[in-house]
Amino acid sequence: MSSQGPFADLGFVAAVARKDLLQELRSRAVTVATLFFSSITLMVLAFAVGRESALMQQAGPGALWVALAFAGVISAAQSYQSDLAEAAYEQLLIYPIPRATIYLGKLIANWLTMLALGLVLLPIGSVLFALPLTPGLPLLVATVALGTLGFALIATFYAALTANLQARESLLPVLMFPVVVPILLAAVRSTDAVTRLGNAALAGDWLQLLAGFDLVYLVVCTAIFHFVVDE
Amino acid sequence: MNTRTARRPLWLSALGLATLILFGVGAILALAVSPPDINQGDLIRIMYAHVSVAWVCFLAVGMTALFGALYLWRGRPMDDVWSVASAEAALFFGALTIIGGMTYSKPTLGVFWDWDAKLTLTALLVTLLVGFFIVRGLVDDPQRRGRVSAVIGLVTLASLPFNYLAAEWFRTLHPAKSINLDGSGITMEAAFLGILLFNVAAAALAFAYFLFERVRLGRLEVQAEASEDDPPPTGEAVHV
Amino acid sequence: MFDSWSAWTWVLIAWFELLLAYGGYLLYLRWRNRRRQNEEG
Repeated sequence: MSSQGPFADLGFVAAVARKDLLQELRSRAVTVATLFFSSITLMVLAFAVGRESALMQQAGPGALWVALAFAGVISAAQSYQSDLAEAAYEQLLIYPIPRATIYLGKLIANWLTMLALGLVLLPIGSVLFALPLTPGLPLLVATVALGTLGFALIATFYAALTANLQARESLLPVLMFPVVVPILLAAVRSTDAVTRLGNAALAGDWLQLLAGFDLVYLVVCTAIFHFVVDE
Repeated sequence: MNTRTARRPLWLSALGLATLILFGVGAILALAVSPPDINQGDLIRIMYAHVSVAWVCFLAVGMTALFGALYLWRGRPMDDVWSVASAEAALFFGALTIIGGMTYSKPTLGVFWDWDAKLTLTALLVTLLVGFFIVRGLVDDPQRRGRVSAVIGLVTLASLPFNYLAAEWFRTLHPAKSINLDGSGITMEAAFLGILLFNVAAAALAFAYFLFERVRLGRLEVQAEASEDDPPPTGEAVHV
Repeated sequence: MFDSWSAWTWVLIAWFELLLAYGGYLLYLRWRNRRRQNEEG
């Protein structure tokens, strides 16, 4: 589409990602609110599970990813909402750039936001649910990276679809959670394998799956994104 | 105005009749002819009703995505009508699969919900289809509605293999060891298989009849909408 | 409650579900047809 070839498109991707991240940083109130929301979710889940340490350890990885999933939905919806509010979204769509670059740019911004969130939640969850972090920290970081990438892939895609619909707040999770189930499962199992079971090989298997999911959805979502946003 | 086109064509009525006959014969085969299973006894007769419906559900999802893709490609309103008709059938047969699966699960396994991989997959599928219809209800512009729901249909189809794997591995510790793509891995005796296939054919025929009839109604609705938007030709009475 | 039900009860329930659902969908299609006819006047 552009005259300078694929590298120019990469520039567009970076520009969109940069814009979204700057916006995120400037509206610090939203980021802080999302962070506290997910921490509170973790605490509520801890209360719901009970005070038995074995049970808490078992529930910890799941609670961590549920908190991350809810926070991810909010932040992905937010990334389009702020654009829509300032009519920046329409302008973005007027630019003669491939639609996929908008998707990829927003994806990167959402992913980095969720990744940061995940890395903050990890120690909080570790303390609340008595999960050991240090033995397999690199694997754990890889799990958070690949898991949040999978979430961001679907969330960014469906947030664009629901951005100008009524009832989008409840619609987005309805649409994306059934798709995200395999990612959630693999991420939870990998986290569980690293922290509670201390089984690096098992975590590696789940991580491979996670990478496979991410790759397929990256291709599918990028390929059909322009149908979602074109008016 | 539409009285001629509104009448159901003869072949469709014949298809409906054939469906009815095939369904009846299938029921007789399942309820009276089929021998009881060694392990399950008479409960095997539920399997014919349940499994046939489940197969057709996944066929309908495939057709939803296929016509959705066609709509994205060439943008004909009828492709959208076909896609929605398939999605409706998929939702219908999906819900029926879940209910039938629970009816099958309770007497054989003792619980209504066993987190069986295929039923879990169907449950996820039904929620995806519900999302499909919620979104359709919220978008007014027919073109955007068609495009958006086609996209959801495609993602639904793409998610099926992953969701199946997830449902398979949900109860296992290790991901790679319990995959069994050909189904249950239990070989079925020829007598059972023949009757099952007959019932699959009956369910497929029911799907075909529902689909054609729903598409026929959908076409009439699209025509009615189009004639509402355009001013009627002169000399014809305007009825509101 | 369910434990006392015989195998044939379950079999008949399962087939009755099918019958009910098919009939229900036919009724729905009819309703849809009526609605369009009413709108056309």
